[in-house]
Amino acid sequence: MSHCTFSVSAASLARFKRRNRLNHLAIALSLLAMAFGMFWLLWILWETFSQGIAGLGISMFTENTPPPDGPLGEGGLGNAILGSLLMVALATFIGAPIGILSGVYLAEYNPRGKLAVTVRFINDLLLSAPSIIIGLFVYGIIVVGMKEFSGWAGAAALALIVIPIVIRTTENMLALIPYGLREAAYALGAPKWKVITRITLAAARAGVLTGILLAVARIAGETAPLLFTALNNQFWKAGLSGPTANLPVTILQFAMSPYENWQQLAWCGVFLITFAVLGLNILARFLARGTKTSN
Amino acid sequence: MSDKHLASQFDDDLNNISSKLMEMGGLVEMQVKLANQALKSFSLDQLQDIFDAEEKVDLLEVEIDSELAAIIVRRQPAARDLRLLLAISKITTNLERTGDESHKIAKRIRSIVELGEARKIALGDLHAIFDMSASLIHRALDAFARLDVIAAANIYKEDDLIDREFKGFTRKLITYMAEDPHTISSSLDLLFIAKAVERIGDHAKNIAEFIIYIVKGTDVRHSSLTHIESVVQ
Amino acid sequence: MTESTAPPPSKITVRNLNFYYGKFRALKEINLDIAEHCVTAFIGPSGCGKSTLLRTFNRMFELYPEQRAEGEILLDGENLLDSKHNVALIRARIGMVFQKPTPFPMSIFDNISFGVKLFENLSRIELEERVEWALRKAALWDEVKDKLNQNGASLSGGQQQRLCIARGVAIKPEILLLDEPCSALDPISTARIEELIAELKKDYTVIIVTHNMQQAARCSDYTAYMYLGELMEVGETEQMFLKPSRQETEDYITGRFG
Repeated sequence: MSHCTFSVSAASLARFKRRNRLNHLAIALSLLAMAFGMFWLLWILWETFSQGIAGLGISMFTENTPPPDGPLGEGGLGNAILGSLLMVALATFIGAPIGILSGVYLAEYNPRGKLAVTVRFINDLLLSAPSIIIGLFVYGIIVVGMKEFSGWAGAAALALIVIPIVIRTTENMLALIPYGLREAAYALGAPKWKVITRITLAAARAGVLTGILLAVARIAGETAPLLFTALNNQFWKAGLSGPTANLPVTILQFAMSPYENWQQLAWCGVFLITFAVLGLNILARFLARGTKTSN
Repeated sequence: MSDKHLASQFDDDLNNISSKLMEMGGLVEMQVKLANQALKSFSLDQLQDIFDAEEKVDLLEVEIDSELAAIIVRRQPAARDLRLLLAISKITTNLERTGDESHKIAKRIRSIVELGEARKIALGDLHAIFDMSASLIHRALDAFARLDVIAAANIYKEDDLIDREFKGFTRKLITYMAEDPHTISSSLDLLFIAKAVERIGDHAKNIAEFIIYIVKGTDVRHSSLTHIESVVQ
Repeated sequence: MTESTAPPPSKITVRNLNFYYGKFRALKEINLDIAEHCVTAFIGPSGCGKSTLLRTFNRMFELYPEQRAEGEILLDGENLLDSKHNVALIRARIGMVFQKPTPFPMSIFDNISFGVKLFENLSRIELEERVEWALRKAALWDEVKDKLNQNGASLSGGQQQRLCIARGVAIKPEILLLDEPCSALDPISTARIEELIAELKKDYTVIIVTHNMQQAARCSDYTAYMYLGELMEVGETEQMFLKPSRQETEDYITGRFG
């Protein structure tokens, strides 16, 4: 601000100018770093968009995956989309309630107790565990046990990824609720379960929902756990109780193949997942803006 | 106890207003003293000083009142501070009236001196009363400076004495007037002077009551001496 | 200990109350009578125990396992610290309003009806009447009657605090505890709440904790001065602010503390 310099000595003016130059340099470097990151990101999005949009049509959702080396534009990803949707929905349906209830326990019932500390520690481990390990675990427990790959096992693996995320976000969101709000409810003579369901969870609702959406976005693109559990399926016949088609594994398989029609479909799959995840993230961000609790 | 407020500016304000009150008291005390001397010597030399001081006293009264208002509005004083400020407000009024009484006395002295009749009347009693009143005002200001309730209670006691002496002097004047009608005019002047002197004693007593109020928080106006002594103990 | 000069009957009688945060003794042998249908203010420097004392009256401290109270707090002769009394029923008789406004994440209407529905089974019409009654008591009705379905958080700070008072009043308690209810409010909202307190004492016994001595002077009938967990002095408010009987009280009230 040049108008501030009028009564400043020459020495401090020199220092000010040097500081100013450093400032400009730092800003320039930061902008450069950001541009570097954005460049790749935008390139990826552009590639996905331009390659994926090409084969996109109604048949993409209605027709099953075609045999290899067929004509371009024939067949679709219907079975994979349906499989992914079902597994993600099921995993969320199982994982979110467990996660919310556990999060409520950690935040509301004796948060500094031994059990809470242990659960929190294990949850942190689970949260950072590579998803392939979870896939292997479910493979060992369910797939080996039932002697068959299945969509159920896929959903179970995905649920195991959902649970720690939802626990963590639920606990954090509840911890943000000012204690005064709970005290105010208790002061009216409300019982604990009512305080939690009507007051604290209600106040943290947007945050908890955001957590669930982020978990959904995360599992929508998970490939590793499904490789060992749901595997893949060229068709849609057994429902979830056999090897089940799903987008991530289909993309993996098709993209690695030498067949042009499969590669084309892989791009479409990538496009669908990317924009679904993008949409979920935007929705989550939108919800989170409403979280600002009025204390 | 700690005598200092957390806000040292508040202490400064209170000290400031107390010293202004003492300054005003000093002027009034001087007026009373000069009036007393003028009565004894029947000289007009220093009467002008009394009239001059009057103006300063009035100015100080206004100044103290406006500072009081400023302190109250800024500090919302409570307890001892509030009592002190309320008492200062009342004491200034009493001091200002004491000044007025001196002023009246000075005017009557001038009138007596101009008439030249008063020398026929024995004034020993009046001088004694005046000495007591002047001393009471002095001691009242002193007791305020030290917030000395024992001294204040003694002032209260002695004012009764002044009142009795005043009644005696009044009777004596009536006798003079009955015996020698020539003295009526001077006697009336002297009566007014005596009344003013008696009023000065009352103002000293009022000041003493407010000192007790500051320290003990009890309003002892219009109460008996025994009550006052029980409060002061 | 200075005895209260209270001629009105006492609603709450505290006898030999001690309070502990873990090993720290925060209240020491408190003996106090709270006069019925009067406003009693607790004043004192931070950490003197005035809020702690207030929070023993509705056993708020029981939310925290390391806190405990010993002694007696008699409400109409019954010791409410006695564990045989259900804490929810005690809280239905003793309402509380906190320092920060705490509207629940629900509509203005539901904010009020939440507490009512805990203890009473009212028809929709009765409930609506109760909500209006409570909002009128809290002098908020005219400002919110057209937006009862809006979220409580949409109100201004002063309105939120009056909403909390309405919420406390709605369950028709006998006592209202106010824990620094104006410390987050502007002077106009504060004046409204003080006006409200004067109105409320006709029907309730009000206890207010405040940092603002002028506020205690303005709106209470009795003032209790606490220091380091002890009740130093309690008396009629005018007396306390004109001529308290203890030097410590006078030093605090005149700002000579510390």
